[in-house]
Amino acid sequence: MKLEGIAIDDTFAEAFGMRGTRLVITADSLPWAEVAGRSMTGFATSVIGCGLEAGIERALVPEETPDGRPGIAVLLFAVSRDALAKALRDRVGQCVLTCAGTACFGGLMSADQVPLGRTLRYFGDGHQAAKRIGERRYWRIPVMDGEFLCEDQVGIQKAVGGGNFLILGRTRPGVLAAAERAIAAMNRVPEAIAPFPGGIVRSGSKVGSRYKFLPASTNDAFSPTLRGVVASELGPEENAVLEIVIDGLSDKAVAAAMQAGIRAACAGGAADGILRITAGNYGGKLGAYKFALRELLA
Amino acid sequence: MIRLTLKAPLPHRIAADRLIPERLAALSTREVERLPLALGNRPAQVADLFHVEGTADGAVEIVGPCRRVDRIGAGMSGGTITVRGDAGAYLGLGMRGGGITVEGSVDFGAATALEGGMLRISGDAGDGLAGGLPGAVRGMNGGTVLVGGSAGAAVGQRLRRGLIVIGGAAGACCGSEMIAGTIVIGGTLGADAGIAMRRGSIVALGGVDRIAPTFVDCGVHDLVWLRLLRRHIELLGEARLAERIQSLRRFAGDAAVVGRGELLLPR
Repeated sequence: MKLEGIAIDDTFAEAFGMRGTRLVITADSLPWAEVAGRSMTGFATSVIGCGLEAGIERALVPEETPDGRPGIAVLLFAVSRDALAKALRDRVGQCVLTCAGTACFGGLMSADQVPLGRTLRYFGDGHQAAKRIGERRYWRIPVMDGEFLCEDQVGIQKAVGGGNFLILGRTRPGVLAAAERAIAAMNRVPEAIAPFPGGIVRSGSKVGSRYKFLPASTNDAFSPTLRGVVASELGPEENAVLEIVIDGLSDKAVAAAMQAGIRAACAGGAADGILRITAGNYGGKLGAYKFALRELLA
Repeated sequence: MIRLTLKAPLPHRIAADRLIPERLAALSTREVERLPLALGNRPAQVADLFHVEGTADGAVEIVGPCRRVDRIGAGMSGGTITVRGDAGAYLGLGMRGGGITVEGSVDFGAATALEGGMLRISGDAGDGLAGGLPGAVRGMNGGTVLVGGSAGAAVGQRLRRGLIVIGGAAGACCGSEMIAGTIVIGGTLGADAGIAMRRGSIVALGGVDRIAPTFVDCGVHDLVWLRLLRRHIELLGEARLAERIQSLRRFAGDAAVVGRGELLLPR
């Protein structure tokens, strides 16, 4: 199968079940909401090393936020309910509570809830106050610029992490340009994020390593400088590879993001130096979700 | 909908506890007509006092000058009651859910010991709105009360949870011994508001007659939670009142007790 003259491998991306949530962060201005969002989604590329995968889903206009101020929606994913609850507490506590003028709300309606404000409230040292408005409960925590308002609990749900595809091409600039197009397209897909820097990962990994202490190591089969040294997956002209990893609140969201990303990556055609699109998997034995590239693009 | 139309002004008070949607739901019109009521100290039946028409579908309408009909909607947990006129004392006593709309004014003790649901009064409310029963540790414990006009003394005494919105003025001792919850007053608030309050918020948009000396001025603030409150009150259909909720001056108190409550007043 070819898309705009670019080969699409007959393979699939293998993804895993996770727990995910959406937070809405508001502030006096959109740039300050983004500052809080970038801060809390920093060092959140992979659950392996960060315990959390997160990204900014989109900006919100005042009409979309609970307090009528500009805001952002942030998606966060972890391997379990407890891990997600702990990460939320730590990251909201360190990156949102601390950020000028912000407030934090749950952005997911779900019966399954984890504590947020009720664990952060102790920062108020006894001066915190609960406030119920409608059906939702908040904590008002006094801080030096007024009050930090944080929802008592936030909804979480089952989610999907680890959807992916790889862009293979002749040159690194060409592959990077294609990956940037993909991310720009994927940013318009709701309920999905690409957690790596700029949405793109260059250090794709394989499971295990020759070192006992290291559970994941470089994906040598796709490392062009090792072609000829290891059992390489790369063709003779494939000199650069970039991967895009996708987490979503549902398999449909991950599939939609992959579809949008691959189509955008291929939009420049083979003339752009892009040669092939493939995906990472573990033979289908580990992940609960499989996204066949050719089926996605059919 | 079952419509109960008062045949004539009542010579004595009656208690309308039985006339709630969930009790009427399983009854025919004849059975509703035969329900017992006490007219003063004399036994009576619904048909002696009301014309009954319609079928039960979770909605009840009471038509007429009902100032002597007490305890309308007491204990109800679902459905709706609409009163086309005034209502008597203890409207919505211990109500747990559903909605009551009164197109007039109500007497003493509306929303006493309210646990949930929505009570909407177009006119004025008497003393003791959304308070507790005598001797009770707490008053209203959930739900929403909206009063278009003014309210008497001791609104929300020992309020534990829920929202009370009054478009007009409120009498003395509003929010006294308040435990938590929110009271919003559009008009002037009487003296000694929030006296002995432990927690909770009283938003007095028309100012207050006198602030107790056990409340301390914390300055003017644009609080995020007030933005949520404004939006919530807008959704309740009180947009003109809601738009007045802006930056307010915060007085913390009552320092004579726990002191974690607040009076929020115009700047």
